[in-house]
Amino acid sequence: MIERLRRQPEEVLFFARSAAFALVVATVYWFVSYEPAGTTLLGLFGVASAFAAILLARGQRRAAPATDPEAIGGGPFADESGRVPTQTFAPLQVGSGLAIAGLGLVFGPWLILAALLPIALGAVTWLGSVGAELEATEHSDTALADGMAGLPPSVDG
Amino acid sequence: MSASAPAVAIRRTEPPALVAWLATTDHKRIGVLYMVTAFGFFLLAGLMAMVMRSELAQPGQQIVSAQTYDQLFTIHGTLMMLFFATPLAIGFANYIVPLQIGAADMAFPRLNALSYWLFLFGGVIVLLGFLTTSGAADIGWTGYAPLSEVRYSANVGVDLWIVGLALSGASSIMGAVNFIATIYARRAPGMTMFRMPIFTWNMLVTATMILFAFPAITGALALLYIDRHLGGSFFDASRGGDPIIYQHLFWFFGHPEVYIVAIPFFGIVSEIFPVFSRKPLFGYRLVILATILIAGLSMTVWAHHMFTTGRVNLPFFSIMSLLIAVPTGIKIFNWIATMWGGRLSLRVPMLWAIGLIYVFTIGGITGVIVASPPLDYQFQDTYFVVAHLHNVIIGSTVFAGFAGIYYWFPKFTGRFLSERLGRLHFAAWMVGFALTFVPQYQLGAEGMPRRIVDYAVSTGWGALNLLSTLGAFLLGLGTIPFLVAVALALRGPATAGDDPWGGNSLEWATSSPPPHHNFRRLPPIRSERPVFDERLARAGIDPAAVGVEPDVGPPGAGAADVAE
Amino acid sequence: MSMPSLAMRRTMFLALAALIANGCLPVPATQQGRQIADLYGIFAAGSIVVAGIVWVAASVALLGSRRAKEGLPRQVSGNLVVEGIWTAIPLVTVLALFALTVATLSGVDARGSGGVSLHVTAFRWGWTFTYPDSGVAISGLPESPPEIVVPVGEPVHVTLDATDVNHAFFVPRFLFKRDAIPGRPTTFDFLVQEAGTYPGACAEYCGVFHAAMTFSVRAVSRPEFDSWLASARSSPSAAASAGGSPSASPSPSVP
Repeated sequence: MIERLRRQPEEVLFFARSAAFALVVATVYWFVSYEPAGTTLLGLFGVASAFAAILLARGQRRAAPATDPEAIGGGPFADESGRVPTQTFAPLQVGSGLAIAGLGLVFGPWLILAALLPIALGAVTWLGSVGAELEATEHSDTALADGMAGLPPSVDG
Repeated sequence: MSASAPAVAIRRTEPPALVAWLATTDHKRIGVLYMVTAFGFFLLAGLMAMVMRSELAQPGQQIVSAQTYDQLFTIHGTLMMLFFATPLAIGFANYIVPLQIGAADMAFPRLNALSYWLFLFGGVIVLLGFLTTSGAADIGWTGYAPLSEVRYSANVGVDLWIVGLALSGASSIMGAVNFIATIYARRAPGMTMFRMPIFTWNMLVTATMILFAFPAITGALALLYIDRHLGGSFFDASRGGDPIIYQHLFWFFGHPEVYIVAIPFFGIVSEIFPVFSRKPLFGYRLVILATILIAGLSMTVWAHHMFTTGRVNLPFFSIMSLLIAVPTGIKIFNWIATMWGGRLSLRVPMLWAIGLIYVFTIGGITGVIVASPPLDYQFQDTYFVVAHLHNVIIGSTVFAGFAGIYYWFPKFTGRFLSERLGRLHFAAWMVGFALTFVPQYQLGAEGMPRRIVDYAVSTGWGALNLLSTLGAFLLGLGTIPFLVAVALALRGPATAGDDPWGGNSLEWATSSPPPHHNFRRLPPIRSERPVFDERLARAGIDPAAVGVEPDVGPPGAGAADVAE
Repeated sequence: MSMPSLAMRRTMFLALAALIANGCLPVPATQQGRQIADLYGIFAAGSIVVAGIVWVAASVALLGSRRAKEGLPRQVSGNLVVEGIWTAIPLVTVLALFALTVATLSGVDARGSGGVSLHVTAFRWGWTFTYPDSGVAISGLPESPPEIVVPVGEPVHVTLDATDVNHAFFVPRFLFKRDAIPGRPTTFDFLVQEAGTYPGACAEYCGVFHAAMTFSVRAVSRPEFDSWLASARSSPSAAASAGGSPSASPSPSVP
């Protein structure tokens, strides 16, 4: 277990240490205070960190050249324009929809209904362009994975 | 000729300016939007502070009603903490982090744009309260229940405050996810974790804190909304709830928040000290470790805001709070050691960074004082704490924020901000800061409570309050040279070039402002200072001759050098 | 004229620093306040020393660089020894401060025996003070803030509560405050050592008249206290009129 942890890259250890710290503090805090709210919060902080660490450790099985100290890179910048989205109003539409829905909590539920239109509009554009990008970049997926250290290239939300 | 042709072609296809901003997913534009919006909220909240200081300048009520005053301090605090300090950090990071790690954009560019819009709309919704007949929220930026329960604060402004904060909280969480994904997944080849610039490291730590701290306030706001409108009783003791739980939830977010708005700015000055001292950051790894320790400890000290409730474990929270002084001290000493023996260039960014050392130290020390529960019995909820928190937040966020703007403005625009106006701006803020907050320490020690609209003549607090008010106006006036400098610079020609300061990190390896995809080429990355390494190689200097190590080694690898 | 020794000068400096720092605090009127003031003296002296070290070090680094030669300075990237020193010294310092804090805390939070019991109930925007042993109750609103009387040299055992929102009982000359939280009563002691009248106020923001929610504590000798208590008991109207009408409070606060 310890040996396996030691072989993990810094990215994983960052969250693993965070988890260990939070769980130790949560335990100590419980036994000095018997206070449930803070213990729960600290405990969840630890569990969330552990979750992140485990998720990353599983993802690290893929290639992760940026963690290799022998690599130094340099040279012409790889054009990643395929995955840099062009201009889109989708975030503004979804954002204003969510804001209107929020106002609905204050001024009445009818506003939440009104908010559905911009949210739907934005979501369609958003998901549509994500799909298009996925398709366009699928054939070069292996090349892109070099720069992505284990995360799928278009988990884009 | 061949160089100008593509530029013309690009101009022809450029959409109208407004569309370019509203529909952007470019991290640089979003960064600018964040910074400009945050600064707008800063000016607004600053004007509110000047109205409040005018009211307090003399005993007796002169300027505003108690109702208005209560709204002003609530919205001032809310805007400054959640709509200025946090988004300003996110704005800097949006622009700088992808550049520093050699990426073309953030991991999730559209989510990034959504984060910005939620932050903007959240702020506008909080401010909408001023347009309602019952006014904006008047419950303090902490929004303590039961005061914020509908029985005591039925005004719609409080609901708008809840919704605005929830939206901005969601925005911050999305931003945090995006930063962690970007830093983890989009680093250029060769950019290992321990070759990352210190600002990027600090943003990684900050994003992690946001991820673990903000859900607590989102939960508290949801429970408060249920209490107010859906018949809940989470914080109502008469119906089985517990008002203390609100404080736990709020401060489990609220205390890390204080560091969320400090750590990115420590990162900024940790970039500036090396560049303007012509030396590497002293103890790069120890500074990173100190940052992580500060972040970790800050998640475990929330109830030091609750010492006077008599319902928390005092020794636990006291020792955790006191321990934060150690990594904070490490940072300050490492910054001084970075300057030590360097060839200092006292340009405006460096002035603000050095000013931070002098100012923040006092905030840190008074933090140690209030970390001791018996002393906190006197200082809690007085102007001593008001002075302390402003000392810490202005000392970090504002001083380093201005340092960062003067430092990166040439990168953002290709133009320098006026050195002369910058010095005036800095001098006004140093004097204004001391004049505003030193009297407040004394007022708090004498027992002046915070959040009071008025005080009796018999208290004898008039003279110190007047001084503090004069200082606040000096801070307000002192901001004008900065605004003038920005306006003048934007009209002036672009003279800064790609790397005006002799920078270390990758943002200085591209044009100013950078092209849409950020880079045309990247230098090799062998250390946390790739641009420095390349400059050295180009000048034909042997790195070993000036004491440069081939890679960032283990801590203390440069021990032999310090002896001289 | 001989120069004082280094140790002597250091002691004088610390004493001076403590003097300056303690000038900031009000003169404590209670036994607990005196302990807090003593602790503050140590913290403040330490603060001045630490601020002095940081400011002097930063200034030396700043001025020293004026003499730096042209060209690239030596690229020093760290030193484990000095970094260890400025990690260890602050660590020892805060541990010492923590030990002192815990010691003071046990003194400040200690409960005495004998003396007087006092129930304090805070409400928007006034106070009700009840002496459960004698049944005397004093209530007051901002227009005529209540004044309570306590004996000098005896512990006063306070039970603090609130009826609506959070408030805080704060007497600056006691160097002490405690939050009043509805449904969550807390207890503490104070022992006034010096006769006099000490203004107090609500320290936790509680709404629009928060600033006006004041009271005062008058400390008198035991015989004076007894006669005050007797007169207050025989004429409840006098006590009530001294502090306005309790019925004006939003909820009945006298048990």
